[in-house]
Amino acid sequence: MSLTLPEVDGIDLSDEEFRARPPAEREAAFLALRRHPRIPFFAEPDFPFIEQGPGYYAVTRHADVDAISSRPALFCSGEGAVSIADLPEELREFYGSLISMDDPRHAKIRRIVSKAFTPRMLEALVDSVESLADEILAAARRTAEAGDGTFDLVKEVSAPLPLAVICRMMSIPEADRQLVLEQLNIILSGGDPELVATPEDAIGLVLEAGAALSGLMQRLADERLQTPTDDLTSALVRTEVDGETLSTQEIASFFILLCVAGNETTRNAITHGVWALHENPGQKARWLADPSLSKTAVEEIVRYASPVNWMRRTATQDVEVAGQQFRRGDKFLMFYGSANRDETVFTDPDSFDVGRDPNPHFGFGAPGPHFCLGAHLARREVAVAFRKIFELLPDLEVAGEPDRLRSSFVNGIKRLPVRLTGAS
Amino acid sequence: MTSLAAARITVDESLCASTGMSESVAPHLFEVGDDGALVVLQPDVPADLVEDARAAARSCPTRALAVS
Repeated sequence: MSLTLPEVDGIDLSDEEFRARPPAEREAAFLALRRHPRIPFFAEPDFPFIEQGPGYYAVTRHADVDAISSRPALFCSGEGAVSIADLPEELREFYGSLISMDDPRHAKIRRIVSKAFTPRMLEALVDSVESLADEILAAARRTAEAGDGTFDLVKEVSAPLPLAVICRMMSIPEADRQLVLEQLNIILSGGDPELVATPEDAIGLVLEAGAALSGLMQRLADERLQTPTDDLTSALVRTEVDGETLSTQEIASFFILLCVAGNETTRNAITHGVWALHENPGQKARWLADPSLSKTAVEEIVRYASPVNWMRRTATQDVEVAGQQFRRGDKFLMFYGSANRDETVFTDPDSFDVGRDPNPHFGFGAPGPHFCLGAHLARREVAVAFRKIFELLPDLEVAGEPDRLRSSFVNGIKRLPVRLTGAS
Repeated sequence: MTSLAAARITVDESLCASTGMSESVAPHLFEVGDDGALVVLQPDVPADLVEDARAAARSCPTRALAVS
């Protein structure tokens, strides 16, 4: 990288302005942090109505993220995994479910749902992912042809595909999908001003969004209790942990987790992938010429995109990481995108290489019990999305810059203008 | 006996989260069962499958598998 590295003292990962900087500048800041001998400490960003906490350590090196993630007894998730601030317990469980839960309860619930996400179970889903992709891409072409040949890739392709897949797994009726998409966007806006007008509005809007999704799920759960099918919703309502079924609230929380984790992440991986191929036409040509690169290409898209910026852990006792002492209760944010560009692990980490192998990225999280439940599903969705884009939209080209989401938590792209050269 | 087991697979139940990675790498050796627990289909691994078993162990995100 030819950029001069910024001074570590001048970097503030909690500053909202930092998120708005160009990606190359942010990458340079993370490079400087990785090279810094100490794991740096940051004050917590301000959240309305929540008392400001003590601050957090930013873990940016691959080895240090691994050391924290792989030792859940020392670094727990139960104090919160998806929020820097300590949230009231009700809110934490409501918005975190499994992701903010520790073993043994986490392990019991995770095993029950994990079967639905194994490669064997997903075999049955592949055909439907393909037919959903066919429909969605055909609709995108119609949109382009009806207008001036351009459309927003996020709106027409990246968002609807994962949403349709997760809705099919959970049997969410078609009529409710728009509601699901809108509410999820609010929950994951991370305070982006386009979606949430003022920070003071954020909590109220997020609570309303959660209540709307929860209401929908309670309705579906009741239906499945009466008339079970072979979908995931039916499996959830039948599930017993320690002799008790999950409460409707727990099922709703799990549904929100699945929607959030299963939509935004894959949506952003697809969009980042299209953008990366646009910026690296040689890599696109290479993949087109050799479809057997799909497996490594998908992993590279996930590494390069790193759709989730961080997860949090909290020290359960005094502990040492990389020779540095920490106290019980200290918070850590594991910055996956930074670990995924760690120059001590990845050769030429800033280049996008569809054949990269080995590729021990943390795009699905680092080792440990919270490794992405949907990793197999996401890989298939991304692989199918690109195979179908190459096949059905071979004339697709990027027509403008990505419009990036200003969220601390999600590495999102709100819009990516594209055009079909054959449609105008 | 046509072939002696060349290695043995063990699962640390306290670590395994049934992520299905081993199943995706070596479906002939591993399967997540209907109850969500990982089943090792061939705990005693013949020589020609040892490399598959090791690859599966390396891929495990929870480092729950040992091949010895």
